[in-house]
Amino acid sequence: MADYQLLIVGGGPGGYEAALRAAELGMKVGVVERREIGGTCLNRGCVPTKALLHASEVYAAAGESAELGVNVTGTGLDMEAMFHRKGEISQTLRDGLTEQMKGEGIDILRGTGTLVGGGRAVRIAGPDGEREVTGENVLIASGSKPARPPIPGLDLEGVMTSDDLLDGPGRTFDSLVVIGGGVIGVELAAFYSNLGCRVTILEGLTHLLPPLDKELGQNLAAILKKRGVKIVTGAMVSQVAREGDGLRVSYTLRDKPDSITGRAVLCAIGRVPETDGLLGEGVTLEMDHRRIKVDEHYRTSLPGVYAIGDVSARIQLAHVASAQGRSCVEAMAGLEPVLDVDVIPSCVYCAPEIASVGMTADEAAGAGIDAVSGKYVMFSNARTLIACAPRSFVKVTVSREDHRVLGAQLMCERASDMIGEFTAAIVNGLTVEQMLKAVRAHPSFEEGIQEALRAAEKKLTQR
Amino acid sequence: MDGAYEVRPGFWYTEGDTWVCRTSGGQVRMGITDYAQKKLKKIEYLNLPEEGEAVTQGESLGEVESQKSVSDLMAPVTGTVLEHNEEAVADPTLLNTDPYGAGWVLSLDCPDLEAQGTRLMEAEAYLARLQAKEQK
Repeated sequence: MADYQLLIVGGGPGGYEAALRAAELGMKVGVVERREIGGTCLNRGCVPTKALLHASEVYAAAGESAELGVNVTGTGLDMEAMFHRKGEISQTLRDGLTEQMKGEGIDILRGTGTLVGGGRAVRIAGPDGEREVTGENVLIASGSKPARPPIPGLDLEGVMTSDDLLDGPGRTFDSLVVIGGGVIGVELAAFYSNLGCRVTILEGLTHLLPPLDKELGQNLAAILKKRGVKIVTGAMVSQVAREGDGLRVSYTLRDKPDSITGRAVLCAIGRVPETDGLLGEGVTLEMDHRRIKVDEHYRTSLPGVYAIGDVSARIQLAHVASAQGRSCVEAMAGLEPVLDVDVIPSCVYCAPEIASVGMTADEAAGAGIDAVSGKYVMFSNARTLIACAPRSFVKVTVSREDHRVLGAQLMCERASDMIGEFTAAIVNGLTVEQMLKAVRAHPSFEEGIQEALRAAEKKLTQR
Repeated sequence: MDGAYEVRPGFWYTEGDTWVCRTSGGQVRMGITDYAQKKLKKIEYLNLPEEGEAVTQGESLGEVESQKSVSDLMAPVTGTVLEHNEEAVADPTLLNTDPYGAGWVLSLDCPDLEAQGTRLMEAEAYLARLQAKEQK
């Protein structure tokens, strides 16, 4: 008889959500974790970056508060205090989560977990030595880590990944070059820029935030440029070299060589699945490039072994891992999964926030769907004016055939808290008319949603 | 120029109130007309296609936003986007103050501009169209 009904490798958002759901369904659960419960999200990702961004926005707002009739003199930065607070928030959440897991009877097994035998035994190399535990089912939720592509000079001192920045001491820089204009790159660029650092973003594709609707990245670029951030798109980085106290990053732009210097460099080119030490001798899993290959029920090529989250998913987001973890466990228990994991919102926490779910107008057209797009620019939205927010908008994609809402892209204050309305609408197949039945409070940012829906509805009546 | 709206001779005009011309330097440039900028009022943002993207005559290639509305930018010709007017991108009110000069929006690669121009309105025809619209 196995030690656990479900043995999970990795205590991040995928692993702990799976564990909690499994315990709720009556399973005996063990979670193997070699670092801290909460994984990247809680400790080196989502939560600490948002804590730091918030602090930096308070600092930047203090510098602009005279417009509001609030005179602030003598603002200064205490980076140690800022990073200490970030750490405290992570600690509070970690402690709460650990308590909750223990309260549910979940065993937290400290150490590095390696699948051995036929895959359903896990050797744990912990602080007190090695031991082996078994599971009827094993769930791999080992997450991901920052990618370090083979660009010469990326291993130089002063070249950091997000892990290095967030795990490291509280400090800022005179100048920073950010390689990569995706979510992590732009959020950290915004953070350092808010603190007065001279930031340059080098992005290889044609606009920032490449997987998202082009207008989101373009609007963000316009806003960041107004704040003094230099942005170079179409830049392919070829090397990083030491130059005096700083670093020189060389790149080609439209086939012409160029370079830029900075006191520090952040490499934010993406993340790769974490499989170091995961598979013991003789244990192999079918892979899809660097991801563990899984079917629609999260089963790997080894019977009884599952994988969810960043280690196997195409979309690397904490809430994807959590949703997959819960759905995987529900399927194991013979239940119909509750969450619709095919409709995933994604958010960027610069100012204003960005949130996107479902299809853009271009994606609908590419899929051969006859769709209209309704857009509302928030210049006359009262809350937007009150918040002194830069150019903000809401865009909605609606099917011409059945008027169902197919997608939404928001760039406005509180976008990350507004996108849920669209996610719920899309998974439930709501039409634009159904969404417009709801009265929205005034004054609110979400009145922008109402206006964008009305703009789409108007287009449906035109041809 | 006649009337309340400036219409520049030697330019070609579209029903979507955009213009195209060949500059003295040989570049093909496009922008919005004086009529368009007056209707839009203060222009706040330009949503433009990427450099290198193909555009098709008569179709929307982007948007011009004011506090009042979002207007499609009609492509006056078929061609490829060469360059944005970065000054206008940084300060879109240039389209209000000098729509035919400093407020140009895009330059295009369009070797057969003169041939495509036969499908567009010249200054007189565009002015007549505006006058007819205003009388309605």
